[in-house]
Amino acid sequence: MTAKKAFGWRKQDGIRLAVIAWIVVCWWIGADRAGIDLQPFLTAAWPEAQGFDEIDGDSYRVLGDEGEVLGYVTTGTASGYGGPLTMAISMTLDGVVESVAVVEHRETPSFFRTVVDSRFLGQLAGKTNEDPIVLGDDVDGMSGATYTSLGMTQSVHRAAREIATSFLELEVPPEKRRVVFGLPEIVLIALFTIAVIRRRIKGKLSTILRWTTLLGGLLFLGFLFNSPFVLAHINMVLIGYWPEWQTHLFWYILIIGLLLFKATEEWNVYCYDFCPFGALQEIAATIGGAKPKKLRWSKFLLWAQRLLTIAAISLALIYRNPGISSYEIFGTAFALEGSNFQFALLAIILLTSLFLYRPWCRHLCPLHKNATEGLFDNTRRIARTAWQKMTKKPSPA
Amino acid sequence: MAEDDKKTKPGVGATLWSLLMIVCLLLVIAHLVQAVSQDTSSEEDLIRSTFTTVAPTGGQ
Repeated sequence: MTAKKAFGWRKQDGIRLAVIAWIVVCWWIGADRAGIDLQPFLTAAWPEAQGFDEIDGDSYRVLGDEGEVLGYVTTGTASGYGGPLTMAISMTLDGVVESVAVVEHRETPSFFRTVVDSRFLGQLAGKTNEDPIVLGDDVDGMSGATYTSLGMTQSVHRAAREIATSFLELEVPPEKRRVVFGLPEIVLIALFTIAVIRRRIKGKLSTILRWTTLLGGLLFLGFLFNSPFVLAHINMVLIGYWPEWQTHLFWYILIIGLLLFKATEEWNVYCYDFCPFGALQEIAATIGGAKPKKLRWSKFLLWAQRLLTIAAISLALIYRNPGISSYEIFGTAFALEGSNFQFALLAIILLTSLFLYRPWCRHLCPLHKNATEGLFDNTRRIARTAWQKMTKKPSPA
Repeated sequence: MAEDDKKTKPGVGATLWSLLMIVCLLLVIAHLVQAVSQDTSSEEDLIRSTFTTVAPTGGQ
């Protein structure tokens, strides 16, 4: 019996499986990348040191002229927006964090640069073992880059505690692990709930509820929290990076909510009901009277969209950086952050949206059913069909 | 039949919109190339650009 007969394969399933195999190869290449080299930080933080005695892979004892200990250096890691973020710190013998630097991160380049340029890191250097080093307590956060500033603060907090307790035997404040549950999480749950209700009713009320979630998504997920669903979220899952649930509850509600909705309703609730950039395009479409139009070279455009998505996921896996290939223009639209190319793209897309219905979603978005969502749906279909065929009992003769 | 073809075939407008989408694709590719080249700058550059100290003899 051929595989086609056994599993009910379609013509394009071979291509889909090849794409999945390629993603696995990229994951494997990325896993082989080298670790962190702390030497540049050591020499910058202690230019007068005569030597550095390695305690373990990431911790060093700093030695003076006569071999006396001057201080310690170590790293701390916490979750940023796009994945783990590692900071190196140096601490003097009296427990002062003298120097800090980012040694590894997975943040979207433009957001990362904003935090660094804002001198946010200046708040972290100079802290002592007696300080809580907690965002919103003794460190001021940055609106628009909350997760990046949270990741930096937590990394320094962990590194400082490590040196103070393990090497210097100094007192540290008790650890506070509070669950971050605020307005963003409440809004997200409300959007999911309204979308569930809307799916079960018809008529004018359904349209009103859809516009409610679209405008809610635009205002809250877009302009206020700047937390839209992006390819980086999928990349994080593929890389196998799951942030702490206590500080990234929003991320978990979003991912689990989408998967649950997809599994139970077979419906992409996000794109249709509350994607903030989708809402922006729909508003433009309403103003300009845009309609879905059949474009020329539609097959080429479809495959270009798919190939871009595969390239973006491949880069994220190879570089072990979920945010590196996030080419979406959501941050450009809602936080005015991005490259010149993204600003040009945003201008073209917004103008085009007046005449063409959702041009970003239909021709460029890596999350659309033409790309990632379609691959997810079809992989699930292949697996389900194969499972049904394998477990099907032979009918009695 | 010919009239049906005329109805379903994309016109000049569709060609222009398609060209505009291709321009958008090129912009995305340019952005990706720029993002990757920025990320592949060395660890030393990253540490140097983010190094912050309160030490009087510190590097920055």
